[in-house]
Amino acid sequence: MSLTPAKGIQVYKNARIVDPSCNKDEIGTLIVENGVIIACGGQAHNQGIPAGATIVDLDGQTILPGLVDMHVHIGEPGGEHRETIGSASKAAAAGGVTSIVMMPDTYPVLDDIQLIEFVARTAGDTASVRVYPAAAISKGLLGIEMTEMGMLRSAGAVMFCDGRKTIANAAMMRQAMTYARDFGALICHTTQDHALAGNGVMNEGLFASWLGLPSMPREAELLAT
Amino acid sequence: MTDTSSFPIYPHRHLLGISGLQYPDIACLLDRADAAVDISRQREKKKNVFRGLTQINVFYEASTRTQASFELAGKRLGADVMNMSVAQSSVKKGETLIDTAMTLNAMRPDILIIRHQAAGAAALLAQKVGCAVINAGDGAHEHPTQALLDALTIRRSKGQLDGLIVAICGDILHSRVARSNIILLNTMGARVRVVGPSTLMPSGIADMGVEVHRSMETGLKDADVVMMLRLQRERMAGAFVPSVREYFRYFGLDKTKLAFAKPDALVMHPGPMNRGVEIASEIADGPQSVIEAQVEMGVAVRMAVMEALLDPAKGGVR
Repeated sequence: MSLTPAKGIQVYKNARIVDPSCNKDEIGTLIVENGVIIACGGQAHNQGIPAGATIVDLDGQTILPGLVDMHVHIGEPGGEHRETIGSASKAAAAGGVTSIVMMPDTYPVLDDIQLIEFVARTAGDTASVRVYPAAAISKGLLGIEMTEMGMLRSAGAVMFCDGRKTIANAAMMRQAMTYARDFGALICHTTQDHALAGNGVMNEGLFASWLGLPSMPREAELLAT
Repeated sequence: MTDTSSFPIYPHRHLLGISGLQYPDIACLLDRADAAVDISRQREKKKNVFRGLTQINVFYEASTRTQASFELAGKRLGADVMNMSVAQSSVKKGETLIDTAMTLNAMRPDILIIRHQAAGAAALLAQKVGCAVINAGDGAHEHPTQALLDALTIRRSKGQLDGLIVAICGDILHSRVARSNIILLNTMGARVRVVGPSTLMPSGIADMGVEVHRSMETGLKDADVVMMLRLQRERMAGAFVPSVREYFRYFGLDKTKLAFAKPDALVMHPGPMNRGVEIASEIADGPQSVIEAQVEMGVAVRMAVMEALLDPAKGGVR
C-alpha cells in the first residue's frame, strides 16, 4: 500500500523539528528525497532549495520521528469485523505512529509460526505502517506450556507476551524466561496477580470509588513482580 | 579364556557411583571389561567363576537393556540370577525399600543390582545388606555401569580417553547418565562439554567440570564423541522445551549438526532412543553410530564389575 515513498524531492520549511534521540528541538527545514531524509534542522536549506522540489510551508507545525507503539491489540485474525491489520495500520499512521507491535491475543492466538507468517504476509499486503508481531509466551495464552520461541523468533516475532493475560504459574514463567534467554528472545509481559486485579479498569482509590468502577489494588502488580 | 587373576585387586566393595573412584579404579574396571568382551563373542559364553553365587536384580523402574544386560552378565559368569519383579512384589503392598532390602538380605545373595527412582537408594541399600551392591541407576544421581560401558566403547574405538572432546547433549538436568559420565570422563582426562537449552541444565552446571554450550554448533565443534541423551516424552510438551519439532530443530542430532564435530566423531546414545526427537534415524543407523556397540560393551562391563567386586582374591565369603 502506501509504504512506498513519494518520488522526487519534498521540502518542509518553517517546521518545528523535534528529535529526542539527538536532543534536537528547533525551527528549520526537512528535505526528503525519494523517501529518505537528506537534510534536517535549522541549517538544512543553507545549500539552497533543490530545483524541482515540492515546497511545503508548515508554518510552525511539528515534525517528529515516526512513533513506535509497542502494545497494539488488533482484531485480525478472528475479529476482522472490528478491525483488520490494514485498518489498524491506517489508524496508527493517522496518529504519527509508523511502527506497531501487534499483541498475540487474536483468535487464533499468535502462538504458531504459521500465524506469525500470516501476520507478516498480511501486513506486507495491506498495512501502511510497519507491523511487527509479538508471539505468545504460552500456548493458547493458557499459562501452562511455553511456545516454540526459537522458531517463532526466526519467523519474525519481535517479542513475546501473553497480551492481556497474566501468567500465574511462577515456575512456568521462570522456565519461559530461561528458555527465551538462550534464543535472545525479548519478553515484555503484563505482571499482575489475576485474583487481585480481577476486572479492574483503573487504580484502586478515591476516584475509582466515586466513579463506581472496578479497580485494581497496587498489590496486584507488587505481588506479581 | 582370559586369566582375570592378573588384574589388581579392586579396592571397593560396592559400585554405587563413579564419584569416589580414582583413575586406577576406573582403568582397572575397563581393562577387566576389555578382556570380558571376548567371552560373549564365543560359542561357549560361560565362565564358572560365579558358580554357586546368587545375584538378585531389583528393578523399581522399568528397564529392558540394563536388566537384561545384568542378567546375562551374571549368567555368563555362572551365577544363579533372580529377577525380582517389583511390579508384582510386596512393594506394591506398601513395603519400604529398607524392609525389602532386609528380606532379600536374609536370603543371602552375594550381589544385589538395584535400580530405583530415588537418588541415594543404592547407597541406602548398601548400608543395610551384607553383600555387594551395584547401582543400576538411582533417580537423577548416578548410573555408573553406563558411564563405564560408554568409556569402554570410546576407548576401544579411539584408543584412549585422555584429551578427547566429548559433547554430552540434551536433557542434562534429569540425566544420571550425564552425571556419571561427567565424573568419569573428567577423571580420565577427557574434555567434557554439555549442550542443551538452559531449561534442561541443572543449577550450577558450569561448576561441574564442563564447558556449557547452548547451541549444537559451538558445542559439537571439533568433538571426538557426541553423546545424545533421551528426552522423556512428558518433557517435550512445553514444560521444559516447547515442542518436539523445535527441540529437534535446535538440539536434535542430524547430518548438519553432526558435521560440526570431527569427521570421525563417534555418535552414542544410552537408549532407548527417540528417533526424530534427539536423534535422526539416518544418524542413529549411520556409519558413525556406535549405539549397538555400547549395548555389547554393557554386558562386558557388568561382568567385569561383578568379578572385580566379588574377586576371590579379596578373600572372605560373607
